[in-house]
Amino acid sequence: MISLWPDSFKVQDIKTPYEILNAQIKELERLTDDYVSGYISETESQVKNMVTGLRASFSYSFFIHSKFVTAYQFRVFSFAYEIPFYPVFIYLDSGISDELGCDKEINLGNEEQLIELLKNVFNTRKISDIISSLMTLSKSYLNTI
Amino acid sequence: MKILFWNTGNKDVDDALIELAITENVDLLILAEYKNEEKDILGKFAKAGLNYFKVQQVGCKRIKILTKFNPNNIVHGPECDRFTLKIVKYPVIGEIIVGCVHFPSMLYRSENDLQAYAAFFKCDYEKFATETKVKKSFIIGDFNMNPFEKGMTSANGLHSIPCSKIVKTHNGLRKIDSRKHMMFYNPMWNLFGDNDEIPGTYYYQKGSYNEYYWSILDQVIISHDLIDNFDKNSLKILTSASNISFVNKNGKPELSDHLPITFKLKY
Repeated sequence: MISLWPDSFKVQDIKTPYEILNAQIKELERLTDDYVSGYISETESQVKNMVTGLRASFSYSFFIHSKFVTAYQFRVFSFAYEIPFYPVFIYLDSGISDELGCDKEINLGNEEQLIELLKNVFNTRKISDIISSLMTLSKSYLNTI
Repeated sequence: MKILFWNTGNKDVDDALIELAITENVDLLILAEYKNEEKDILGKFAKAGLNYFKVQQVGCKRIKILTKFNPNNIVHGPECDRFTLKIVKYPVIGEIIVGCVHFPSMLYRSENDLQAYAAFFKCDYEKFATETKVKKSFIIGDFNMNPFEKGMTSANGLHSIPCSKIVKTHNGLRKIDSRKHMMFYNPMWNLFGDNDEIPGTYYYQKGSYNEYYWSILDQVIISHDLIDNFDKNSLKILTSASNISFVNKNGKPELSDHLPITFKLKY
């Protein structure tokens, strides 16, 4: 039988929001000498059901934490998308959205817009304060052991 | 063990706080919308012979915590702008998860938004409680919801109900569609009505058809394992401390737009 498929498929030259954030987590670890890190976890189904827009196929939350302040984590934002990855829906922490003067709920149409938002979020005073506090707490923990 | 929460409404309430700390003998003081510097109030407490410490804030700047306990024994848990979770090591009772919340006002946000916060909180709380294996906990603060609203009662929200016996019968967990949801006892329902002449913690009249006038937005909810330590009779909405009144001549909140709540944990 002849193939009914097209001759070939093209891999899209596009980075998923998950990949972009993962790369930024590595950057954060490098900049803080591994005192502070981030992690991405799947958004819990009960939250997905509550927050309009987080009902997409891929839905995650991004946290900042430190391996030395083991129980601590700060929920920076939740995000969700469908294939083909964009638009991505972001549900920001209210302190960050207040500082940026933007809505808590944002729809971003492409990779560039996501990168621009992440840059703004990572440069807020709020994020800077959290990272500084976590570095201080981590160093103080290490001095006590 | 006395705990007090107050949304101080960005007003200068330092004199009232000192009187409250003395008259109520508060061990853990949790404040929302507190506008003054913590180091200043700690200095004023010291002058009054009261020894309090500040619990270091990391990301949740809306809530300030002052305590008589050594803050080095406090474990920092999950948080976001609107809530923070800590583990406090109490003498005799042991480790307790203390959740402090200041959810957004329904004047500016939708009910859906509040339910989302309640759901975020509950997820982070359940994960924290499971990982740390700390079963005793209370959640206190300005929930900006009445005890009967969905975000407070729904299993995927705070899941707090007005009967401690039912929470005990369920062992603090209710299974719905194969997922277990932790439950809380909400004793604030006991404070509705005007039997004690204080119908709520917050008064608001918006001229709509459905009007409560008084709401109980400032609440504490108690986990299954802490119910036996919770002194029901100690739960109060406060309207004064010594000669400082928090209400006007009509009995409505004046010093701040919210009234403080306090309760005691017994050994």
